[in-house]
Amino acid sequence: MKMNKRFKACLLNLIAIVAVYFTFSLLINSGTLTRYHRNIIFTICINIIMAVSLNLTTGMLGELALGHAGFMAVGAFTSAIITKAWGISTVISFPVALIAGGLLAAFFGLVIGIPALRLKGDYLAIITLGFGEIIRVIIINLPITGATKGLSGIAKLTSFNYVYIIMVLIIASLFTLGRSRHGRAIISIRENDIAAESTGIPIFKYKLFAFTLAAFFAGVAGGLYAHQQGTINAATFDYNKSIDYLVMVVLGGMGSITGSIISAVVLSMLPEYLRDLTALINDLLPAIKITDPRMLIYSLMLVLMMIFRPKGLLGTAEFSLLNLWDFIVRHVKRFASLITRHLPERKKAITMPEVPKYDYANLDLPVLETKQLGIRFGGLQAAKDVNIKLMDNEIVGLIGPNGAGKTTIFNMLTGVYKPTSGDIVLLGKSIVGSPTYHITANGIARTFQNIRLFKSMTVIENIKVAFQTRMHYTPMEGIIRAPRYSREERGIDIRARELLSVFGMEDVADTPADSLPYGQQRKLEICRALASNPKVLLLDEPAAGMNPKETEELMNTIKIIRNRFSVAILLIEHDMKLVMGICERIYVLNYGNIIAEGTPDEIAHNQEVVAAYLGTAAEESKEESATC
Amino acid sequence: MLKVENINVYYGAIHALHDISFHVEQGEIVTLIGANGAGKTSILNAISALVPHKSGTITFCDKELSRVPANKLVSMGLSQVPEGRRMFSKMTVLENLEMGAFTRRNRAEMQQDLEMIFSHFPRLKERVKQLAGTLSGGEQQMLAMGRALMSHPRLLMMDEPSMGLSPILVQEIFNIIQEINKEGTTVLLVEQNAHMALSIASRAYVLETGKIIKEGNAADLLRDDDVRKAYLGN
Amino acid sequence: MLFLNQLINGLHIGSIYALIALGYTMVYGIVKLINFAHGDIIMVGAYVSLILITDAHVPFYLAVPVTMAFCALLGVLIERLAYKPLRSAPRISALITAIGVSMFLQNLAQQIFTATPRPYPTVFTVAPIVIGKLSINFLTVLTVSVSIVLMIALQAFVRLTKTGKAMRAVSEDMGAAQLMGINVNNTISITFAIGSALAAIGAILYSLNYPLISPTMGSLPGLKAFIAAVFGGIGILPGAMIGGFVMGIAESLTKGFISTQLPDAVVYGILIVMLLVKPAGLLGKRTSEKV
Repeated sequence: MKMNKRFKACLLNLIAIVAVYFTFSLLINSGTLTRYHRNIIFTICINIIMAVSLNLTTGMLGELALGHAGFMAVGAFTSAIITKAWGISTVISFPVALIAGGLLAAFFGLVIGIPALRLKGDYLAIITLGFGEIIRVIIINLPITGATKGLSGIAKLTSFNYVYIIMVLIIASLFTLGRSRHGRAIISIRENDIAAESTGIPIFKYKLFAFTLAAFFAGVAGGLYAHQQGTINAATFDYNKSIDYLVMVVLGGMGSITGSIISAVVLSMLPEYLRDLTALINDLLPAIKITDPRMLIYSLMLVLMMIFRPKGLLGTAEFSLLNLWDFIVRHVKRFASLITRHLPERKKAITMPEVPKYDYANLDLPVLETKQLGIRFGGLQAAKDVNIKLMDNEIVGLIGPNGAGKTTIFNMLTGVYKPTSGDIVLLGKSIVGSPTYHITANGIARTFQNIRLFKSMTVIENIKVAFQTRMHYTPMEGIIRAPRYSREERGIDIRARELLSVFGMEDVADTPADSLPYGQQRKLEICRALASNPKVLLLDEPAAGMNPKETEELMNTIKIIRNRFSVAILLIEHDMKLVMGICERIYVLNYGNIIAEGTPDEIAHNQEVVAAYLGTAAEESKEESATC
Repeated sequence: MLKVENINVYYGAIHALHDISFHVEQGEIVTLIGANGAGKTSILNAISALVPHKSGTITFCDKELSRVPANKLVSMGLSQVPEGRRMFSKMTVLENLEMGAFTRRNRAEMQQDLEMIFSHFPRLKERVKQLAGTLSGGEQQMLAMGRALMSHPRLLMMDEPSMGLSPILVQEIFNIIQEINKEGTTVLLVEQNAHMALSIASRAYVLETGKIIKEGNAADLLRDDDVRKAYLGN
Repeated sequence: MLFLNQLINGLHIGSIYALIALGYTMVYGIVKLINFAHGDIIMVGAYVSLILITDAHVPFYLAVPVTMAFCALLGVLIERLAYKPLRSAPRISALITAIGVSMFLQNLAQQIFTATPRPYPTVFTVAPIVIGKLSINFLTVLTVSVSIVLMIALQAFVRLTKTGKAMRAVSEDMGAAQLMGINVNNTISITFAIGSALAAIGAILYSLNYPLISPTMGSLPGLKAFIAAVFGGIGILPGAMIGGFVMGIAESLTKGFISTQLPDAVVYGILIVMLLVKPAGLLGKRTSEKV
């Protein structure tokens, strides 16, 4: 029944897309729409492509890029040069030129992205702005691109068929991509990059992928633009143009594809309406005589819009006009799911994510071992000669005063910091120097002192991100919704719900993570860590901010986890009741050195530990825990 | 000294505090205990005018605070040690302490208070020229308290001073809170660590999901079955 | 000799960039906003001083403080009206607002003054200072020395005065600063006022050197100054000064020895290299997020 409904929705989408297509085709072919209007329609479609592609980097990935017009320029000039030079039928040369333009833009995206994407936030914005401007300066100085004069006499090959179909394809593929494992990975980076990487997401690769794909789309849009205008000049593609597109994305609502589409449409048409308004005002009040105030009004609206709707247009369902647009565009976006329905794949085959096998039979050897591990920050020796062993299925505590280096050790174990001396051996192999996501995939998962969830994603999506390491379908398979996509997605949906039910969280699976109460957020973080199927689980102050009742629950949960998931657990904690209550062994760290190791009882009576850390309260706490 | 009557605080659509009323008398240590998210910090922030309250009144030393801008509260004698210390980490320890005395003019008195603070926290004296960001967690908590004391408050409000500190440091910090109180500063203490807080406080209020559900003598609450079960763990 | 001349030219324009960069960096430091409208304050400063001097015949020494006051007021007004409501909104919204304000100022100027550039009056007719074969313009000497004096004064202000310390405190932690009894709104206003007043001086010095005033004249020096601020480490005052000089000199040497087409590309190139080598700028410390 549910499928039926979805099928109907898909059919509706297709009808809507086709209806829009035929309406405009008819209007254009019959000559009802003038050349002027046709140009506006083309511009709108090109702007939509630019906005949704920039939305991929800025909205979904969350990285502010200010050089998008540069990629458009690369596409525009490349395709124009190709169609001008290549005398064969335009039916062949134009599509080839568009793709070539896109590919070269993607290549630029890759070359720029590799160095630039190491930066974040405003710095990335500035460096992409710089690269964008450099692309422009290069084009101005190259003879083949017509130098300062630009290129003219480009065949006007851009037709409604081309812009509309390409636009629909790009929007659809961005939508399906967004709902695939790759899209989840990209969004998880926006939500919390550190958590994403320790959940097994190779964040740099995904950043580069999103950035390059966006550049490709921008390049295609550039090709369409060049063959719409007939003449192009590098000066058009300056950073102001990049900013225009950024405005469209932000105004529409960051991360919302439909939002980008709506604002691209509105902002492309707005100047035209304002032009009429100017004429009207000048007619009515000849005394004022304003000179084309379009940009003045546009900028004022921009400021007011941001002040009153700082998160952009979408998500504000009160606007009924917007709902209408949203309605139409929502159908465009579901177009892609129709494709899957047409595929012969009718049997609902499901691939369950396989359980990784650790070919590690020798149980006498530790699962995780550090050997003379040490790290130095500048002049500060933060950890020195740390030897920790973790046996299979063991719960071990790591305690010590603040600043003793406990979290630093976790950061070394997970590859966030690179140790300056010593070795870390996981399941018999050294992992020093491996990137964090790699270590996670190989069996170490962690939680954080200050909770790091993918806040705006739902609970189940948080878990699914961590299944990433055990899924295989490619971005393309995700975009076209190939059979493997469906099989794997259904498989992890089942697995993720199973995992949540172990923690009694199946009821909240579809609520956003940040709406959970504090205790459940901590639980979800542990749950997410387990989803990557670790051999070693590192918990960083899991009881922080919990009251004794919650802490007690947590103690039970930790024991359950150990038994059910057969992991070794290393935990940092200040709550002595928890540490003394569940740990089988304890390491005490002070000034970066292990000063004691032993059973809870031995530690509680170790003079050095009492002096450095526990104080006299330890006795009390020990007695208390003894009573319950 | 401080009287809070029926205040309500909203964050957007979320009703964070429901009709909260309590009072703090001269010379007391009063503590607000409760689970994470119960609204303890919201109460302090409402008193400090960092978040607005929608209804109800807050009176401090017989003065209604609703018309008083946040930055004037300090000179009235109300000072808050925020949760998570929030040092000015790129400023030196001394500069941080000076910022605490931002609203004061009398240099001699300030010097006196500085000496008083150093006598409580000798470790800060050793580190006056050091950047606050390089201090350890315990030292930062001491600096946060010292900074708040530099305004010579009549009422010192502290938000989770024990958070993230080792047992031995928690004890030290609580000893100092008691000393400061004995020297005449009234203390309003918000704590997770209910055991510690109740053992030094004279009176306490128990908060649950934005409401005060229990109040009384700290010693009584320490023996109260419900409280023991929910917040003391036995 | 050409090299020395170009170097001096670079110092001249660089010190103007530095003055403007200070405004960017101060504002960024305190509200974490790239104030795109800062470049257009330069344009407003240029027009205001132009009107005062040529149309109202106000003497130059009076026109300067009046222009400064006007720009300071404008800066504060922009902050209060456009940025303050967005203080707790996503940072990119504030950024878009800044872009909007910038566009608004440019287009407003176009409505009032039209797009046709106006000439800026020559104020100083002092003969160049000649040292051997080298001749140094009086304007250059004036520009460089005024800038340096202002930078030192600003640095002292921020380090030593109570208001300056309050600015630093607010830039680190607004909430904590408020708990100290600091009036956060006023402190932010003061920051915008100082930054804009410095931009006004920058505007006058810039206009004296490039005496053609138009509504979009602020974009280019604004962008260069902004790059200078990032180069030196945004939020750090001495960084903005060094950045300004580096950008000015790089630009003028490229013009003199490589190509008049390329100074912009070189400037961006230097910035890119700097960010790749030191991601937080020359004097910036990389604050890696605590895990």
